[in-house]
Amino acid sequence: MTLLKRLVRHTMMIASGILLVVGLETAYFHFFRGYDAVFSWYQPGAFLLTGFFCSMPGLLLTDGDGKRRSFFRLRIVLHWLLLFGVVIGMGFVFEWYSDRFSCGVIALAYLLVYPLVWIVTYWMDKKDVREINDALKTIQDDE
Amino acid sequence: MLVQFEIVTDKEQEGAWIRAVEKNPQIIEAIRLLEGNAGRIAVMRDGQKLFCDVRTIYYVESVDKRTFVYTKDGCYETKLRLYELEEELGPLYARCSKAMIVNLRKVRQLNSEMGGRLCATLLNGEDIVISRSYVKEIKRRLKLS
Repeated sequence: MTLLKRLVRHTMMIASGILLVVGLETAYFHFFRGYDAVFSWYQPGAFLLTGFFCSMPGLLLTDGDGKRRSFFRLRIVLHWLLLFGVVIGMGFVFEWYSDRFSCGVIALAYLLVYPLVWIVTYWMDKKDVREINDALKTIQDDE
Repeated sequence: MLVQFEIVTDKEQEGAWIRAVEKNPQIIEAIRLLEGNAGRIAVMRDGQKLFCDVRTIYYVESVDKRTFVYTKDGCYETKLRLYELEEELGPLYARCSKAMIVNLRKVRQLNSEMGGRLCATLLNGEDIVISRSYVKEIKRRLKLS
């Protein structure tokens, strides 16, 4: 997959994840607190922009490199921290927090979205892997 | 076995079709010959110049501008660069990361792991990491896309 395709795919996945969390949050406020959330005109764009910025560290940090697996965990931690910085930073820029509690909600949302994106990526990779494994069986050497 | 030869005008149209009851060693050898990788490459071990049958290669790795060839028997060094070997070895020797070429015939299976990592287990049990950016090329070489 080309770099641009991966960037677009990750941007859309992350933006969808944010939208899902925001949707759940606004539904909670509507049904249990009795009021509707109001968004500024730029918020949908902010979700997309956040998705884009979140996909950037992914390109730098998630590629495997030969046999060196030892740095993988460190890369994941770095990736997680960088993304967390992006999400919290974007929250301040786009005024997503009215108080500490709402900042905590965003942090919690991040904790939910992060594994969700990996699960979706894992599921999509499974299809590729299955196809490749079937093809490998036909050319495999006997040893 | 009946052998037919047909002249085509375009390089893209070149190809070979083998129809056989089973994929026996002779057929496998013929496939290898047609794929153009039945040769040997010059390698070195302990200062001794040797030739390595490309069919025995598991993977080739570049470390600090030196190129190492790994087979079931061990590791050899070659003067050839990774990009030169990529052309020399044939279509079933695919780049799997910036510094590595893997012999797809020696891959037992690929595994998708949590965290977006793809691993290949080789026939000797060794695991190597497949860089996601090379998956498309591997699929193309396996005629999957």
